[in-house]
Amino acid sequence: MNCETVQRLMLLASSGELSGWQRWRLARHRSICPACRQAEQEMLRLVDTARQALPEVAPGAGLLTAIRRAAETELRRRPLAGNAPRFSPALRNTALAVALALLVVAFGWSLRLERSPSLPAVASAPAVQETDELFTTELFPESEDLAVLSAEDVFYVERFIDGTGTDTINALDLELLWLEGLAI
Amino acid sequence: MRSEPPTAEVSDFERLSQYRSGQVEALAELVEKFKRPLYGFLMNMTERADTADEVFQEVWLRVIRHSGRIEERNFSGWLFRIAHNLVIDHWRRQRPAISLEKENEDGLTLKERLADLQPLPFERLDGEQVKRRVAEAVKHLPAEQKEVFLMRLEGDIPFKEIARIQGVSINTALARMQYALAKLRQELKQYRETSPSGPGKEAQP
Repeated sequence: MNCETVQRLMLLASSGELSGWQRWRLARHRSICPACRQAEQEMLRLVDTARQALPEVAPGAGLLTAIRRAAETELRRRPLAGNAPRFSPALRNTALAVALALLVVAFGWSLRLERSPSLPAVASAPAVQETDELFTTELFPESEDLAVLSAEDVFYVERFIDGTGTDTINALDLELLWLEGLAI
Repeated sequence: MRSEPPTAEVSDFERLSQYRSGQVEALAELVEKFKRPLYGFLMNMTERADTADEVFQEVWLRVIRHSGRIEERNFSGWLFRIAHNLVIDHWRRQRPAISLEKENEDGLTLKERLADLQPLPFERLDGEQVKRRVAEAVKHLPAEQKEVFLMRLEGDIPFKEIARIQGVSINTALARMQYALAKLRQELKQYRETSPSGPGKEAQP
């Protein structure tokens, strides 16, 4: 950490804005850099001098009275807010954070339900898909061949259904035909 | 604030809430608490009592009008943010009127006040003179640096809040403070060098 950075940390230290980590870094640098130690003392003295040098001024009584009258007028003009519950910004932010966290949890839970293999498929799933799933996992649980067949595996079937000749058919279709007793 | 210990911001919000509930006295307490730092800031920024009066009143009128809609966590930050915006509005209106020959309330032109900043080799310097010199030097800081300096010293506003008010990074706000302090240091150094009463004697209280 260079001395210029340290001098900015010194300013933040004077306003009480240092984090614990920054405080530690500043203290460590101070312990090894006499120039920065001296600069900090000078800076504090200068700020103190300047603070004393600024004139102590205050608004006149007439001005304060005018503000008070304006405040009274404003209260008469509008309904009182005392009856309505007021929340501090901190409380409101906390409530928002909790609500957001609940939404995230609910969303995650719904995803988990949707993907869980031990539960039935959601009602909106297409019927065809459900049928396919049943064929491959329930009706033929022992059939390893079905599981490894891909859509690219094409079978040639002679005299397919209406006997018009050779046609192509994919593996799944073939299994359906076998089930229905149509394939030869 | 210079003469008061820092108080929890929540008490300022409580006062504002009490005012909204119908207690005018609560707002009067807020005005009392912030009158010196805020007015001092405005006086130093505008350099005219009538303008400071006008802006001070307008700041509080806005607080009164918008007291139900405050979103800030830091009341003093909110207050000085309003003041900052109003001072900028004032400068925008007044900029063409600034003249080296125009007299201020003390009957001094800007030219004379600038000349007054030159070292006075034969003048015996005491604490009051140092203060006067520093106060004059503060007046002639560039506006952005002066604002950071005054918000820190008059309003005790944290640098993070000042950066937000000025719409700059915290590094920029810190750099502005560093420049302001460097200029004041230079001013005091000139005093030390030209003072017949000895180097550093008056400049280090």
